[in-house]
Amino acid sequence: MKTVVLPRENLEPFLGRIARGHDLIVPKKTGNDVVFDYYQEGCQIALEYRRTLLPPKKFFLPPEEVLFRYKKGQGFTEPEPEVGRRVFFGLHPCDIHALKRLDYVFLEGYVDTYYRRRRERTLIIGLSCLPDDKCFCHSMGTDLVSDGFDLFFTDLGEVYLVEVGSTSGNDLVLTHRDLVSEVVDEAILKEYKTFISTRSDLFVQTLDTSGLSKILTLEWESPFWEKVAQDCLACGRCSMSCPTCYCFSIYDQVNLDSISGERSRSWTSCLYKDYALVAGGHNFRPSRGARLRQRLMHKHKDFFEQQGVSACVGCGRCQANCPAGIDFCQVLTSLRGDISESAVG
Amino acid sequence: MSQLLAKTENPYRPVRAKIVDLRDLTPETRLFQVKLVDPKAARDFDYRPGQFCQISALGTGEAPISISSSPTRPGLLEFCIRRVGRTTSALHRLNPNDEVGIRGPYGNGFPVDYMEGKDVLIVAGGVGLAPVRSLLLYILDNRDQFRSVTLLYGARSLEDMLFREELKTLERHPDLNILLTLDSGDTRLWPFRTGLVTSLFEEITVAPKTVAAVCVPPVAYKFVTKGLLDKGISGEDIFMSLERKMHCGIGKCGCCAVGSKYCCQDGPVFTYWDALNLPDMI
Ligand SMILES: Cc1cc2nc3c(=O)[nH]c(=O)nc-3n(C[C@H](O)[C@H](O)[C@H](O)COP(=O)(O)OP(=O)(O)OC[C@H]3O[C@@H](n4cnc5c(N)ncnc54)[C@H](O)[C@@H]3O)c2cc1C
Ligand code: FES
Repeated sequence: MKTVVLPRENLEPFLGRIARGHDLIVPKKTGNDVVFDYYQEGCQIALEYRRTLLPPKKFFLPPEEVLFRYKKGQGFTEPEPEVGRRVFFGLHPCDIHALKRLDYVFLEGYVDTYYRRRRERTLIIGLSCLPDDKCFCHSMGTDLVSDGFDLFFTDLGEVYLVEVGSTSGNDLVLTHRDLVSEVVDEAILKEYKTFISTRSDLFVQTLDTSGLSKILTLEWESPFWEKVAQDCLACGRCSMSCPTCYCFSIYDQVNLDSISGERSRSWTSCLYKDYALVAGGHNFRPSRGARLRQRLMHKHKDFFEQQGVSACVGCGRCQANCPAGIDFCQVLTSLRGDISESAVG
Repeated sequence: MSQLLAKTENPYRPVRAKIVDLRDLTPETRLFQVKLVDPKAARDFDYRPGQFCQISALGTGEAPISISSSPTRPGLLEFCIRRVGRTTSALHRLNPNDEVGIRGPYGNGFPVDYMEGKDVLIVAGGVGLAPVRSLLLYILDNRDQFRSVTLLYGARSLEDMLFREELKTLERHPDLNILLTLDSGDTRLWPFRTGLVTSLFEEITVAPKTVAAVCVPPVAYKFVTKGLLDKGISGEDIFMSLERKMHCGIGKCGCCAVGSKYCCQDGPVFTYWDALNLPDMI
């Protein structure tokens, strides 16, 4: 892979110039939080953030979006697609892996028109990170990333080591070649190696994933699910903040003229009580335990069986955002029997 | 399978269809005969018994509904729609010549090719007749391809029975064995049996190469499949059409997931063997 070097002081000019020709999305500080948002001149870009509140998915599968406008006798018309190139700067490796998981869902089989358009008009610039006590990407094999980005920036202090992952990424580098250097010398290489090994020593949270899908299958009937679910508020925050939760529901809204309206979709969660409710009031997952189990099963077993990788990328958002403080890694570890059940929740 | 839309087009876009005729089958269930507005789409639309469509009532939403007609009788599409909630009620408020939106056909459907040359046992309960009626008509129109054909159908009461007149006619068909039952009811008006659909198992003998097609309410699958297994039908030859909440119908929204399968794409027809492997399926 082509690699170049961007001196730290050149980052802002680099992004500033990109923002002139593209819609630039960056991690922004707002209060105590960091959120992905559109860049504005002078906004505070968070270069050393741990995790954003919401993952990047909202720029590809918005929380809510209009699919069609309809009018009686005229059928359904799509809203004008958004146009123009976007550059999404600052995704950590876990979030890039998550986008690749979403690609499986939305671009394989039937192609989701809306997702595809947004994905195609967006360049991805990754950014290296250091873990906090909730990160476990190293357990999920998502702590490093070798594709799925156009550029990837590794923060080495004085400079960023920039991996070029695509021709579009290369074009960006060439356009701003006055800001980068093609020389990756011994010292930088050493810094990079030190960064990698220091970083991998910093992880606190771990998840043993060996045979996890099989263990989950065997623990399907475990009373443990209902026990953990006693704390669960079924609020769905884990799903909303998860970079790979993609469930949505579709609904219509009528305009006042009663002959036209909109068909939209919005995020939903398998934790919601009516998620698996069908006609006649039959609910396939009536208990909170069954729904919590569904979420974890889908992440670590079902998706794994479908795609050969887990849907969990170890970003730690579900735990960070759970109002009941459920530690999903510990739930899974308890099922494995490594620690006593009382240590959970 | 000819889809209404090429894969490159927006798969969420319904195409327009006109209601040609409406007929009440029960107090809650109405037969919708519809025709696609675009003549080419109407001509090309092909499907397999057991597949379903997403039907839009403009302004209310979409509901997955099995195709009740048979691809052997092209032109009109038939759907039996039971009024249970918002979308189905909105559909029931429509009149002939009104429009609905249609997407599909979706799902796998019954494996009619595999069923050829075998004895076919169809078990249905209530509105579950809707998808298997398509299969029954398909078999009738290709009668020489199949061995014996038996339909066991149960409804709560006489007025809950779908296609009563059609079934009474078919009952006299020499090449079909149709057993009808009501959960309860006035036996003077009812020349057939009373009791749950599973009670009909006692009356039939099952040939060694029998395949079963089942569509019953969710709670009844356990009992029906047990009955079929007891009759010696292999788990791989029991095909069940299952219901789940569905939004997209195309494997995206996640709502219909059963283990690693999507009911809308991998189903709605699953074998008993699938059910054993996928917890909570039946
Ligand atoms: C593959 C497939 C094929 C199908 N084929 C047919 C068919 O051929 N014919 C047919 O009639 N149906 C069929 N169905 C079922 C049909 O899709 C549903 O009945 C329909 O989607 C209901 O939509 P609705 O908007 O009318 O009901 P909704 O308004 O969504 O409500 C549906 C039901 O859910 C229950 N419900 C909803 N919300 C709540 C709540 N908050 N609390 C408690 N209960 C609630 C109610 O009991 C209500 O009756 C099929 C389903 C599938 C998956
Ligand atoms: S209905 Fe959306 S995935 Fe099956």
